[in-house]
Amino acid sequence: MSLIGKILAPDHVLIDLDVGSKKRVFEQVGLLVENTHGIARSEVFDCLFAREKLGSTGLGQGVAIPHGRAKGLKEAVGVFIRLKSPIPFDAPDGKPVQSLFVLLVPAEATDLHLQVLSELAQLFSSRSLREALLAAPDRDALFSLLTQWSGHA
Amino acid sequence: MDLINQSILVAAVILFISLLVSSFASRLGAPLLLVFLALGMLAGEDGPGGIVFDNYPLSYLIGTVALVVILFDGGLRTRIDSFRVGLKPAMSLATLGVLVTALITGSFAAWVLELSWLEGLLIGAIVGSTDAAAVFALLSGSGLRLNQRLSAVLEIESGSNDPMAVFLTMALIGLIEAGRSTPDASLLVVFLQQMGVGALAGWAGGRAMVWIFRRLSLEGALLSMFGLAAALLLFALATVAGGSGFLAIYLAGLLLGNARLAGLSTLLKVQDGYAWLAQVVMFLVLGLLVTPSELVPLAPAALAISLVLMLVARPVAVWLGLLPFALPRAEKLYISWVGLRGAVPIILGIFPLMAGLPNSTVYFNVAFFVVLMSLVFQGWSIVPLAARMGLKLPAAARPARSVRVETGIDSHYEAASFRVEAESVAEGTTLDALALPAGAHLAALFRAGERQAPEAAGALAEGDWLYLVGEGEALAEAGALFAGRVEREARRFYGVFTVDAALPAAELAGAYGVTLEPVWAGATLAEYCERHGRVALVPGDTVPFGRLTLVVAECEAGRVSRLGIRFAADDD
Repeated sequence: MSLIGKILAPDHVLIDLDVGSKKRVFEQVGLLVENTHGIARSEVFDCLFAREKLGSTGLGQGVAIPHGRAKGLKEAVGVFIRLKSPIPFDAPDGKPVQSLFVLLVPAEATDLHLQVLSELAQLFSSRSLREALLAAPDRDALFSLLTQWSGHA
Repeated sequence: MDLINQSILVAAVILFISLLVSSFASRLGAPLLLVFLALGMLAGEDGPGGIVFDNYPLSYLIGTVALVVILFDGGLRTRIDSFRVGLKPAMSLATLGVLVTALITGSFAAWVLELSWLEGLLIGAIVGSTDAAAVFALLSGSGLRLNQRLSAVLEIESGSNDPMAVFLTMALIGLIEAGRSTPDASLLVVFLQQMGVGALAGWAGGRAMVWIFRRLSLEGALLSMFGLAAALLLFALATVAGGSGFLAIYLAGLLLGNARLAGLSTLLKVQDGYAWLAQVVMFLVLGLLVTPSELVPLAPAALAISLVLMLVARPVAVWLGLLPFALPRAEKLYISWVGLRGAVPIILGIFPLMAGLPNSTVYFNVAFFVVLMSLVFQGWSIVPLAARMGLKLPAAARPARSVRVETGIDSHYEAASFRVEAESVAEGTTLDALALPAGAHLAALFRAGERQAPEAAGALAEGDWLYLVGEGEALAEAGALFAGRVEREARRFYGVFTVDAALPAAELAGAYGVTLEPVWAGATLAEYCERHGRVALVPGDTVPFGRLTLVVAECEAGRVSRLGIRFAADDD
């Protein structure tokens, strides 16, 4: 199974989230992870924002992979969000972002962090996957797309 | 009259066939110069062409003029900022490197051919320089992109080491003619004079060319003809004044090519054509000139000399010449292999013939054989080798075409055309939403051959053509918006995320859990990288950063300005 399948749970897929900014997205993620993993939402929010300050995590073509190291987290957690409408993200191509894969890793995380990021970048470089993600009708469809994508172009 | 017409017919047929064949050969990846050389040999006395041609003075004349055109073109194309990273190592290779190459190869040649030491050295000197035409063709024609440091060293070396080889050859011929058996100090004086006068003539000539070009109102083709005439004139003047004309012409081209001139893009384009023609004609003539059947008895010895040159002399010369410079080991290795020989050794091989030295056909034939071997073994392998050694940079997204725009005064403005590629940023984006760089402005949009009003165009589609006007840099930046595959490969290479190099290193380390040594506490990423590498960094260089690898993505004014983050798993 892919690394993404190991860190993404079906209830961590949010579909058609209706928020207007990067900040609001990170707040929603904080809320979710606080509930499921018992760490402060502010910790989640702060680590994602700190990384964003170094440079946008937008990949271009409407996709971003915000990521950070959250203190107190025991295992890597993925959250996938499809927004109702695209938001500005300072992505390198200037396009607004509609699909986000948020990756949170424990503070002492090792190479796993980097391997997942690398796998995500690879995954989202596929145009057909990007289009399928935008077209998927529901959460289950999104979840299986993300975890079972075989990498064909 | 008939004879002349027949000669024209024969020459035209050979040229025509050569150009036809070259379009096939380039698809096979064969070095084009080798193809022309081979075609010349086929047309010659031992091949089906059966043309007997042994006019050495004429070949020498053609070869020299062709070299002037090629070196001038090479200078025009060398960006002056590549001197920042490449000049010193290249100069060391062009002088000391040639000397060491000549000494080792020459001593071996003397032994294997049972010649005197000086005669052996003459062979070493003849094959001592790398070939500008071959190296320029490799660096611009094959689609291979090397980092700025490596390409600068190779280009400047090959453009500037011919004078050294010419000088050594002439000096040795002089010594042999005078019946001497060892060189003396007077050689050094002649050497300094050749280089000094050559450099001075090149500098003055280049400045004069720029001055005249600014004041001329010549159009396109005439301007280029004028450039060619000026180049030949400068070559002749420098040579008559006792300097190296080859050095002068390379320097003058460099000054002219880096000046802000209105007609420069036209000049470059036409000059490119001249340089091509010069190479084709030169290699054809040299192929015709040689008598392949005479090469056969010499082949074992000449093969051994070629191998010593490629596997011993050049690597040792490069190692010694680059000893003071902290180039990465892979780059040094690559430079030792890219010791392409080309037309210069064959032309220099004609010198002893014209001077009437004993054994002069041996020199010529050995030189020819060495060049042939170099083109076969090195010419064929340098492109795949660069990829295998990890020295190949991804291609840059470029405009399909760009021309300088007339603005009334000298300026940087250009008009460039771009095709919207599949999966590019621009595809599916409206013009309003397209984030063009600040200095690039839309001039026209074409869809299916028809001009579209920008406000009515809607989303851009694959196959649309855009014309942008702006300064060169902004246009080059805009290229990334329209390229598909090329841009994705570049992103993969430089890392998916990029960061500003002015950020504190500690912040990036914090975000990825990298433990930095305390010395880096207050350093920016740029400082971290610059103190890590032992050489001036250029785009494509990598610097380890804990578990991450940082890739230099952009440099500004000699400093690292943007870095890509490559996750270890991406390494390929």
